[in-house]
Amino acid sequence: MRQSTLLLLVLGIAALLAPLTGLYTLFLLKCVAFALFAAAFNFFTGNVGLLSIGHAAFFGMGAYAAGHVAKEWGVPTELTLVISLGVGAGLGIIIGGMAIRRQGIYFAMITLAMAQMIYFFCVQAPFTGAEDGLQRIPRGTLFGTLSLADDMTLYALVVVVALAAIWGLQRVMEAPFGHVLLAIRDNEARAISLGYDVKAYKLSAFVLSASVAGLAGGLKAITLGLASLPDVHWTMSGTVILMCLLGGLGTSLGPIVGAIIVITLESKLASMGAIQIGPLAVDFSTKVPIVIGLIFMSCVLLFRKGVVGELISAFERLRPRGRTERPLVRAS
Amino acid sequence: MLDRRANLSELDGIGGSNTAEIILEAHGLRKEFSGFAAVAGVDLAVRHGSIHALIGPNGAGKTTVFNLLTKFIAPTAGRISFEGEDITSEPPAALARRGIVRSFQISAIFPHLSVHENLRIALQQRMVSPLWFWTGGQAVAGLQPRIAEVLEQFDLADLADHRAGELAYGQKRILELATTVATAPKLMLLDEPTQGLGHEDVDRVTALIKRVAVGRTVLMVEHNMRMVANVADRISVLRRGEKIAEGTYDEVSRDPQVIEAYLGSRARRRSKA
Repeated sequence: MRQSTLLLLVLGIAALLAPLTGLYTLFLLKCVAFALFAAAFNFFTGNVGLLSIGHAAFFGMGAYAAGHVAKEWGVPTELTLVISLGVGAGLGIIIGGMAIRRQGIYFAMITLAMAQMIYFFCVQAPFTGAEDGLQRIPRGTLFGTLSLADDMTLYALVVVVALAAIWGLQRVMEAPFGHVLLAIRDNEARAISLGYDVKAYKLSAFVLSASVAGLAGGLKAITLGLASLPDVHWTMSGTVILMCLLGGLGTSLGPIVGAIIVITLESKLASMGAIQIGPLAVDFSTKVPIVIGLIFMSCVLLFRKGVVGELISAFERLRPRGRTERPLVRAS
Repeated sequence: MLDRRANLSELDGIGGSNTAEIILEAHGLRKEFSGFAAVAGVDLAVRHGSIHALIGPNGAGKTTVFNLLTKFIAPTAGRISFEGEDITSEPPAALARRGIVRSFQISAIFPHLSVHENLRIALQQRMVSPLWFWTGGQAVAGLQPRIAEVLEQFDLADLADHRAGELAYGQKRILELATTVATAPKLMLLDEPTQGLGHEDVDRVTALIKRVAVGRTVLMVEHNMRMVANVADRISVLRRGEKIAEGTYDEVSRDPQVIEAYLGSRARRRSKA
């Protein structure tokens, strides 16, 4: 079975079972939206090997765009999501077009700088509602008939959209295009010498990633009814990097697992309140960044490949390897 | 641009068969690294269908010339033309699409892809585009017979599903040669194909190069004189960024400047030791 089909199957079953666990539907919706965001980020950084610290711009602007058109213009939900995808793509072309010529840390810094410009634009722009953000964004109707006011109807729509996008990204990686991306990451000079226009390939991957990040922002705005400054702030880019590292950057399931872990932690800690540890009363609801930071540190120190990444390599170690190295030519 | 091309082809006609035979030509090639001329005005003409070797003592500028010819670095001055067309300002990827494919001193493979995938990447370049990301695997399925043929030709069939990074060093070099040949380049540029190989392996790679060079043009940088004597039709000798001799092996090995360049550097090394 293809990996994309398998991934679709696993995630589909998980999404079907999730509501049966009795978890809050809004929490599940948030998980799905962020899982898509993490998958979009991973598609570029995990496969191309360039770190983007600007993905909050695509996510946040996708959310604002969706919020604005749904709230002010009453655009139907399916079109709203297409618009947020388009906003992500458009910004991706602009930011990617400027950053893609650079390597390593310079690339990361340009994406960060551009994303910060977008952030300050959002602070000033009239349609974003500044500090308040866009609140009470209507969920609208699907194709003008089906009302999305019901949580489960909305959940079904969000899951279908997110799974389609995640499957699409995985399929692209299995296509010849994806193989070229992996080849470029492995040995860029060789890919050039074989005639590949590597910058165009990287830009194409970046724009794909940005579009899906925009779509994830749109989903988030519709489901939570809120688009605000934290969505477009650089810490959001940091959060998505953490999600991918925690789950396993470069794996197809890792970012999704990582997103669920981070969202779960954030919501559990926030609702935990003060806990008495010996003489100390620790209020975890205000210590979310500290806990997340500690987890990040232990991830970097102990399981660098992330949860899914470590599982995959443990599995590979266990599998007996029948291959024997046949020295065709000996090195001197 | 069109006018220019027309002029060039006219010139070819005037020049007669002699210029028409030249596939790659460099004029006054020069590269300075902050004032130091690594390559100081080299003229080079590679004839169609020949194996041309670029040799010289360490630091002679062989690899720099190589990188200039493949556009991986930009020349400070000079002109390069391929099949009569000026390619001095073209990006390196465009060169590959014209049929100039190079190898690298360090093994140029994709370590995380399988041997089979390495070959497919080399072959599918014309079939994919950065914009057709949705094109599925069936678009390149037609490459399968050609991949199998190349795997067979280079004795790599048993290793097809191995990750290229897991191969032994010599196997990597052979895979690299295979991917370069697979693209059926008009001009193959090999950067020290036998570097780091043991004795028998040098013979093996030499035989492979001889075999795949039939009907193609090869320009290579090489240290191993025995190998050069064995395969090269024409040799250019570089020293301190300048070409000091050119000709067949017999011609250049008798050239007093070449003897001085090689013995001179050897004598100096001995006095140091």
